[in-house]
Amino acid sequence: MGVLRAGLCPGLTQDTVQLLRSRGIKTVVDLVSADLEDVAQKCGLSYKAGALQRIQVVRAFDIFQMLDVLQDLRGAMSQQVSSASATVKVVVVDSVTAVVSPLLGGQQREGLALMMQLARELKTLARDVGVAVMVTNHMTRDRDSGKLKPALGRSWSFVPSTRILLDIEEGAGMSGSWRRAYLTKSPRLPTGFQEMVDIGTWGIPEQSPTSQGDQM
Amino acid sequence: MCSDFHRAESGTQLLARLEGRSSLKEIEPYLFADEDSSVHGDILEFHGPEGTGKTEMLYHLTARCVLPKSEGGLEVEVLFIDTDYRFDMLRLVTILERRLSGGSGGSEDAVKRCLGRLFVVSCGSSTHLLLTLHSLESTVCGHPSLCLLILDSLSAFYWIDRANGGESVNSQESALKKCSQFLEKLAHEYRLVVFATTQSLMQKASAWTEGPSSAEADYRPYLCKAWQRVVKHRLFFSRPEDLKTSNRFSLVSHNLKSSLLLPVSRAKSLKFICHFRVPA
Repeated sequence: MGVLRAGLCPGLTQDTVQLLRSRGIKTVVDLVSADLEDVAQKCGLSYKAGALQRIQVVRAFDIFQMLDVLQDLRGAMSQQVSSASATVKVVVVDSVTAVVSPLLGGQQREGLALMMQLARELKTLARDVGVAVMVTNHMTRDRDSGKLKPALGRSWSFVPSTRILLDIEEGAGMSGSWRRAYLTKSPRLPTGFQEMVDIGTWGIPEQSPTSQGDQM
Repeated sequence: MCSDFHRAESGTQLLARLEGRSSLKEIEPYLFADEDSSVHGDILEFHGPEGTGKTEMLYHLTARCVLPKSEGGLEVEVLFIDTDYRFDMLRLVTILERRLSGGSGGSEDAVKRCLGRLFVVSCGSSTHLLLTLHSLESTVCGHPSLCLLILDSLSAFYWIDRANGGESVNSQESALKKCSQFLEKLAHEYRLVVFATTQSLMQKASAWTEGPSSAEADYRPYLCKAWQRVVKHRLFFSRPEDLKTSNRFSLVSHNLKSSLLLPVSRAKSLKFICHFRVPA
């Protein structure tokens, strides 16, 4: 089942199929369970270039540029009803604090209105166009209690449907690439759930931080 | 006798008005147990900061309404107006599936039948909301089993309206004022129950107080006076700050328009506190 053949996916030409077969990879299962770096080296495949081509980076340094970019994207995607080549599936905004925080503060109503307009654009993109939208935000300290809280205030806190807090874990036995992820807001799961992630290897850390073993 | 003679009523409107709508007093016994009067024609406001369970409560009320009587529901129709693209069909279906008895094979049809009693509308601005409410009058009229109108959320356009209205507070609030008045008319004429959520966008500028601040103490009314006038009950939602007890939510219910001539024994039902957990 699932034998590799030409045309199964973009980039899988007949030559590639022959090459893989000569290395013992005949089915989809073989390909998925093989070590991709190894395969790439042996078969001379360059998949990195293909992967990087699928990432489109757009720079926007103020709110109006950001709104323009999002509206252009929405227009472009609404014209593409079906396409053979990859369409945009994920939009990442890094970071929304950078464009919105200059607008806030003081008694300006326009700043908050622009922030809510940005929120509306992002939500329309997610809902109508069907992409996954992810934004990053910073933490600030609460003026009164001194506790850490997400930036951009109360009005923005209603905008994301899911929120994950990333924190650095300090302590003995912690590697520098470990982070603790807390689920602080979710429409479907109970909050308070937390998990350690290793952002160096993109997985769960090999050793549990509480283990006293000598695997270090 | 003929005070409203200038406003003609069509046959369907008359029937919809006179035909009794099923009682929603059973909609949530814990919330409305103490109520003497029926909740029909009332507008209820859910107020609170983010993550306190307002939208979740709306889904549970919706599920309770659309489920068939054999499964413990009320078998009535619900109109859900979504103003900030927040409606999560997956979550509603999960709640329905959990409440329906029987195997997962049979319940897909049952879920579809339940969803057939739900109307969902999206709005993009407060003017759009006003126009939508006007155009929905014929839907409400033509569906006598439609008893519940949900608005999630009413405060979604607040900042945009304030910026668009210029310097005049009246023009900033005019669309929402008209929406409030029309909602009251719809609720009163068609004997609907209206639930609307509002977000805690403002904070009372008070000195730092000890202990957790509740949504009730923090409450600062910011929506137009027309809205404040039509709300009959206001329920404040809150959640303790501590993440460990994150599954526990609370709400405080205030009855704003009760008669002042209540006997003392009933007076304590003007305000009550309720704690709840959200099932996964």
